[in-house]
Amino acid sequence: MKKLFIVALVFLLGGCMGTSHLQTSLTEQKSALLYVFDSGKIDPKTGDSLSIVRYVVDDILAPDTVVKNKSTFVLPLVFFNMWKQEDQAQLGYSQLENDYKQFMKESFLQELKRSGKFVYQDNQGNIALDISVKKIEMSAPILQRGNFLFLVFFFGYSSQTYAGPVDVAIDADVRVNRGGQVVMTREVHGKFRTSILSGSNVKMKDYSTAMTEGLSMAIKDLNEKIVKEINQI
Amino acid sequence: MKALTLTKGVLVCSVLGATLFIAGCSQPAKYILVTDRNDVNFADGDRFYICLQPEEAQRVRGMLTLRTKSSVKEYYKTRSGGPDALEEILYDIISAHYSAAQGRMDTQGDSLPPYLRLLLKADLARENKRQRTDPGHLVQMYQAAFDDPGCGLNRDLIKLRIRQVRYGR
Repeated sequence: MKKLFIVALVFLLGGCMGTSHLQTSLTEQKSALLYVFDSGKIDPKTGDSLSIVRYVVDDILAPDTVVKNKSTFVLPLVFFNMWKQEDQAQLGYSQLENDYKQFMKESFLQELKRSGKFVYQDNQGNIALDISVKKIEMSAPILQRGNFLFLVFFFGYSSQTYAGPVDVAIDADVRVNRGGQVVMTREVHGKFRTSILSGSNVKMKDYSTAMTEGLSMAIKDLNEKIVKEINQI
Repeated sequence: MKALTLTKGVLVCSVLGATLFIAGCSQPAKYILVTDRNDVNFADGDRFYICLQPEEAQRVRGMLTLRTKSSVKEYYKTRSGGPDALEEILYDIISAHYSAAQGRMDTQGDSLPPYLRLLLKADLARENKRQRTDPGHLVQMYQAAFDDPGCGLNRDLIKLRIRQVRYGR
């Protein structure tokens, strides 16, 4: 009997992973920002030459991943225990295998060369592009819940984790000059929502990857939207 | 009594063995050959589809129906016709002989149509964990395959591959 109580206690404490433990588990994971360019190629380019005079990414990602507890509920009865814990994670750049600022710049340039209608020139183009990425918002919820049923000679246990959807939103200011005149000033938003990971054995690696996936795809969305705006000049 | 226990043990082992054998036989193959006409479940993150154009599909039509590891093994015993580089490479891939497939790709890969060569090169680089197969480099290889789509389903299949690379499937 005493052993079963200990088992119940272990399930109760182990099933509901603490917020700090969750944060530690997440920070051990690393993944790379990546995506495949699937926009339509514009080739050959026509019209003016275009240069990027400035592409700035503010320090918008914290170095470390932070997990905040949203709510915790535990019902520790003798025959029936249940728990529910909801946390919210914010990705830190130390979890990324590649430099996110570099990735944003390089992927934008690649997108510009792929689907932009203007001829890209390293400098002194007729069209000058100034981009400032000022905000990255991420919502990465994780819900863990479970229960333990104890009926003297029998016990049952179940647990479920729901990670995501991870929502990422990126804001950038875009300014385009042509022959010294400002021809476009716009705030462009890139966003992406991942699917939900659910099951009794959701891996922290997959949860962490979902955050990186969300960020990668939001960067892709931002790049495509900026190039689309520029193509309309 | 001892004999009975032994019999029971043998029986349990036999049942367990048979179960494992049946489970092993019906295991789904990782790589599946499809054409544009096939229904592909893009939500299945564990399956790696290889889409073939009609000409290539015709050359390996017997392999298009293979869905399990045992059916892949069975296929090779009953196949007819002379050696075909395409068939040999695809057979090695679907039967998970990745280093053998890599060897054939190195020597005979040029005979494959570009859309297939690019995709299989990327797949084999990932499977064989070759040098410079960091995710970024792999994505570049898949990007090359994406930009030379060949089979109509290829673009969706490659997007699925990127997801599989990302999640380490």
